[in-house]
Amino acid sequence: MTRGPALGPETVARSTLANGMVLLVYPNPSSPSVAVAAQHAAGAILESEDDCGLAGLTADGLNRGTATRSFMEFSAELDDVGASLNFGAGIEHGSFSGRALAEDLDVLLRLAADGLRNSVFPDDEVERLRDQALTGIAHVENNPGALADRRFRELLFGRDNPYGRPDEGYAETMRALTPTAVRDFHAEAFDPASIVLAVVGAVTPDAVRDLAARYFEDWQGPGTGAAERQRDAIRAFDTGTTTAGGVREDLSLAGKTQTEFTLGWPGVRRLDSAYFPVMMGNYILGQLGLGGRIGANVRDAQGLAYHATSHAEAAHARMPWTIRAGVNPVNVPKAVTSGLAEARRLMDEPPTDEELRLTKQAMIGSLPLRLERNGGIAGMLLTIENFGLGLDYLMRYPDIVEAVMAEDVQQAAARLLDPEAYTLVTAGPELPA
Amino acid sequence: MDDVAEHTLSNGLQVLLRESHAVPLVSFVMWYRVGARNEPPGMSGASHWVEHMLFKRTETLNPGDIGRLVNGVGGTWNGFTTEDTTAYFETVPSQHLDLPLRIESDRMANAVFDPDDVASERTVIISEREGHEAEPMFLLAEALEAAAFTTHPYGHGVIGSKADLNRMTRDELYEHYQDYYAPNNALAVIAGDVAEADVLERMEAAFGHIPARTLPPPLDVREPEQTSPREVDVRHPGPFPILTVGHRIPEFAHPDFPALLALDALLSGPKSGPFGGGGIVRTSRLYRRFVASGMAAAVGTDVGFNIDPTLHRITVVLKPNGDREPIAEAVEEVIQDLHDAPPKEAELARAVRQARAKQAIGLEGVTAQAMWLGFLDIAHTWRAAQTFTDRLTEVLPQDVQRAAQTYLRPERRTTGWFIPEGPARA
Repeated sequence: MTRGPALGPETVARSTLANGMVLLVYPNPSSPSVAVAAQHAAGAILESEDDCGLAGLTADGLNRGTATRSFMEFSAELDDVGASLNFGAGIEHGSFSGRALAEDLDVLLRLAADGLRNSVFPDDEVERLRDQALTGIAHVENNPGALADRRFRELLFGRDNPYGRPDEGYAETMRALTPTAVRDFHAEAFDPASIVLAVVGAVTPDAVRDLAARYFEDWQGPGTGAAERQRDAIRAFDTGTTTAGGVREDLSLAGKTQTEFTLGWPGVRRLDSAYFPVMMGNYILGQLGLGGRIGANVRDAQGLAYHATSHAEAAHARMPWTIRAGVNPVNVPKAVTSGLAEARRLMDEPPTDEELRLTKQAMIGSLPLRLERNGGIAGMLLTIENFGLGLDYLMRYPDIVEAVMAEDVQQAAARLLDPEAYTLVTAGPELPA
Repeated sequence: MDDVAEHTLSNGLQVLLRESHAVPLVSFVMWYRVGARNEPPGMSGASHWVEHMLFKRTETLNPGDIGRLVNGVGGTWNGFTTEDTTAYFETVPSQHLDLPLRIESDRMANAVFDPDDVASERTVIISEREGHEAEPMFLLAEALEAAAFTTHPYGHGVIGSKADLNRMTRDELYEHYQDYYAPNNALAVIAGDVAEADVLERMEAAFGHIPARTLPPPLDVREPEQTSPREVDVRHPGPFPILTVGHRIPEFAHPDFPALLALDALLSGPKSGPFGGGGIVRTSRLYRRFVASGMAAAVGTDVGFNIDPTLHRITVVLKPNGDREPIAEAVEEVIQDLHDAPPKEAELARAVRQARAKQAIGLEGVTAQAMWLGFLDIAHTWRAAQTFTDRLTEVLPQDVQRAAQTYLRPERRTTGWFIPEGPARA
């Protein structure tokens, strides 16, 4: 936490504009800059299967021309003061984030509002963005790690589920997206009542509120009701998985020397009671030090891989818990078996006192580091608001972490992991028979 | 960057300290003046391999301990190797400053290089290299550097060739460690919530007992003058063509370097530090010419902040199946424009304003501050941090034109193409 007043209800100014937009401001006078981070309803969760990539393409188009600014005029206003502003879209949310010197907050909010409210998505700009997106997709399809991750999600959740599809879209869906589809998505999915905006830096809550009111408060549409549709879609698609595990695919890519694999299971929701036990179990399994137990086994002891780790994600819906590594093709069986053996060990016995102690200290002790920069604080404020954790969350956080017992970790692992039934995708050179 | 204190311990260990009390953190970065540039033929990748070995075993630390100890106090850590340096860092809550001191003093003097650890790390590093080989950009950069530097070790890359990684012995690696890991070849940079007198006392206690050593003679390999343009093609399965145009430029300490940085900022935007970063500036010349116009998918540039003469690179990522000829011609035209006329003062002034803002934002955080000071000192002197943006401000439009005319010339150029060939799927 920053020196001086901690991040909490006394120091974060939370307010709601007349159109429902939520504003969170944390003044950090020790910094010369300001960070802006925001999320809203226009995530890929609102796309159809045929339109995969539409939320991202629309977000990319928000700076490509508005009613009063061309793409280059929009860019020049930012570049003149060395500021940056980027729009994006993930599965559950659309987002934007920006950095500037504190005195240039006005530029960031003015342009963010102009992009969100007044974008016109010129045909030629959308076509260029589509070409860029297709280049990005070609890169994913040529990169073993990215391709294994993409196919893993498809197998786990199904391609008819937004959680099973890539944010960036597929080449065939991206090619079919039209400027009209982008304009329609903008009209339907951008709802000011769904925006949460966090501003952190050398600013005052009153000044930020005045600027936000000036640029956003009279915005009433066009996508009224998008927030409800986003929540409904999350509920509808939060089915966990379409497979019972036991699914494996090996994808061959020419010209590669290393095989990347993603192996895993459905994990937890952010608001599940098992969230903290899972995060701690994952830290022990594949993060602590150099890749946790998996790193100690696959990298340090056997020398099989440069990277061998595990990852537990969480959102409103259940997200995957995965083991990933990059190994020589002949070593895939050894690395997979070792990863599964470590999963089994986490299920069969509670972590040691020392592992649990280090993990708790890491999670609690790393707060100052996670909140060192304005962008880190702004991201934390969005998480707190998104999941309704309460502005006193960071004050309660050490007690929440300390309350997790070794048995809780073991039970969560035993419930979610299964060394017999898992989904596995490898990508790289042809595997030896 | 003001308020930097410089000290040298009696064994020659140089110490830079910047107090910063905004957050209760301290970053400790230990730099050794050894990197790929110190590797003779047959030893490519030795410095990077030594870096890996320093996470393995000392008399008191076992493999994996360093990461667990630093994570266990809520800290972050890593190591990295470049052409010019090998560095290790820990950023921890400031009450735990003794932990990085203990780790770094231990591995400066007591790394064991157990033969079994060397053997398992050999395959780990080959795996790291094979992971890189999945990226067309890596294959292109490796080929370009090999073509641009025929003699100087900057031509062999940091990670090393697979042949050398398969050949090198434990004893050769240990000798490389013993040659270069001496207090009088190291720089400790500490930034954060600490007090100068207290830190110096702790530094003396942690490192004072490690004796200075005679260092190997400084590298004296000079790349012969290039007299004609060079070209290299990498034909390999891949998603899209990539063009990199490299030009030989002088070292960081050279008086022309600020003008080259300004020139580079006009092309793609100012770099926020030696790691690049800062993001592409959309009003920059290359972005407008290639990306905003729809000609190509992405552009970028890179300026080496190096001890020895190095490369400036312009990279253009084409769309899949993109036509190569017009891209190469357009890069020539962008370069020719820089030769033909000095930039307008307003364009240059905007680049300097961007650089100032990106510096202020990029140097938030104690890790970034310690990294910046160390990188500049490795390349030349940490004092450059105090004058960095001022020196950019002093660059005149005609200085940029002169830098382009001097350095972005055909006879200093190596052009590299990544050309997708063969089926994508095996």
